[in-house]
Amino acid sequence: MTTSKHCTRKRPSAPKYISTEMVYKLIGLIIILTITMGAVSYVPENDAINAIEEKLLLDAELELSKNPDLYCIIDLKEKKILMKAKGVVLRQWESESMRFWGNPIPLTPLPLAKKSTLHKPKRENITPNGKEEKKDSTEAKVQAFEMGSMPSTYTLIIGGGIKVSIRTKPETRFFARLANIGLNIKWYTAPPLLTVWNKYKKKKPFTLIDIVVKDKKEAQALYWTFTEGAQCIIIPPRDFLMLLDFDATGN
Amino acid sequence: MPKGKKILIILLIFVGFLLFIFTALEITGYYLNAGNRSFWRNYLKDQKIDTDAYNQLLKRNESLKKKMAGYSPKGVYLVIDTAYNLIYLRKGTVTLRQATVSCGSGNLLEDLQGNRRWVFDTPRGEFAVQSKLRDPVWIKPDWAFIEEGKEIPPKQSDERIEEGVLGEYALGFGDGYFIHGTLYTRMLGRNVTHGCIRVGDDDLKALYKEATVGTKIYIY
Repeated sequence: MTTSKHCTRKRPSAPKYISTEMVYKLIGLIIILTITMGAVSYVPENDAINAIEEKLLLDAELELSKNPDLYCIIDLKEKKILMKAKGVVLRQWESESMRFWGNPIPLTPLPLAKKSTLHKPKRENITPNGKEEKKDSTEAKVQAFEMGSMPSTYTLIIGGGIKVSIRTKPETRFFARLANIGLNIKWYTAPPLLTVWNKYKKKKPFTLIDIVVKDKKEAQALYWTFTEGAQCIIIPPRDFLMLLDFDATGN
Repeated sequence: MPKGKKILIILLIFVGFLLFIFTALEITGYYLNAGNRSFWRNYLKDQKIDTDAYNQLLKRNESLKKKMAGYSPKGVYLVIDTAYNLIYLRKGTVTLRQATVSCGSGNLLEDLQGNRRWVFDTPRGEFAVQSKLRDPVWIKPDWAFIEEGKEIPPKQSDERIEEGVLGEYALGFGDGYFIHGTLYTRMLGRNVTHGCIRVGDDDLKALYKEATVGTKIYIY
């Protein structure tokens, strides 16, 4: 129950005036705060890094877009591989997983030095005076170096000591799964040993990238598409990006 | 202590030692790799980016994007996927038409003397339509005669002229390479050509209509 006593309680009286001394103090405080906080405001770290990364990627792509050669982008952040020319995406592959290990890498064009595989596909030699294509024949035997002849497990060796291994998603078959477990164990045990070896013995930077694609056809198509000598840009995970003389404020 | 037990203990100690070394190396490797990660944190500790520098950076990125856009093809362009034997007619990022084609077989041919060698690959990279031909005739090159085991006729010989094998239209993109028609339509989707790109009749007609001299062709 409410009583009239509660309603009629007196409020504490407000001060009748503010001294000029207090006003000056207040203005002084505002000025100090403006100088210390307002004058030099820093951009959040995340935004700054995004802008720097974008700049580096644009610089690298612009350099490649000037010539007629195709180039590829291995984007470890978005988990995709792009085949591009003149800034235009010609083909895109989504990856099931991408893993990174080793030294930071620069966001600059790097040459694909070699495609390494256990069984390199071989081109067929045409025997002169050989077959002639049969018009509309379903039985015509095709002697060709096609995508199906390409390997599905291989390593791309890219300039600057970068090894990109490409394989397919493990199949449901027992031995394929077993092999996949073996590859996973290898991924977690071999790179640390190599890191120590490289650090103290070879003294060369090295980076390993493991890419798993959806199926065999995708892996073969990638092998087909990558050509030795082509330029690649690798977008590494944020923590592994190396800056080469980058000045955020200058040119 | 029996000898067998002694050996077992020594063996266990040895394996334990190896495991210890292995674990130590693994931990060192993981530790060294973790050291690689701290790059950005160190960089931004030294070089804070203020609002002005950030805005400048964004402006520069925009101008770089504009520059990039200047290099990309204007109007329609052709994209050829030699792995899947597909051709795309595109405008910007939109695909206007897609068709199955036949690209280079990648086979090798050598003349009997071993002086000359051909690799029947479709070339890769950026090209442009250089010529548009109606009812093209095929001027057979030397390799065609070598492949058939025939004598190579002189350059201007009529023996070199073959009509009707390239379809109704052809788009030349340099070095004797053409996008043309085919009699072997069942082979579309397979890599069977000597480097040219064979297209089915309807698709070829559409491509011929859309492409002009200068239209860009990207082959990968």
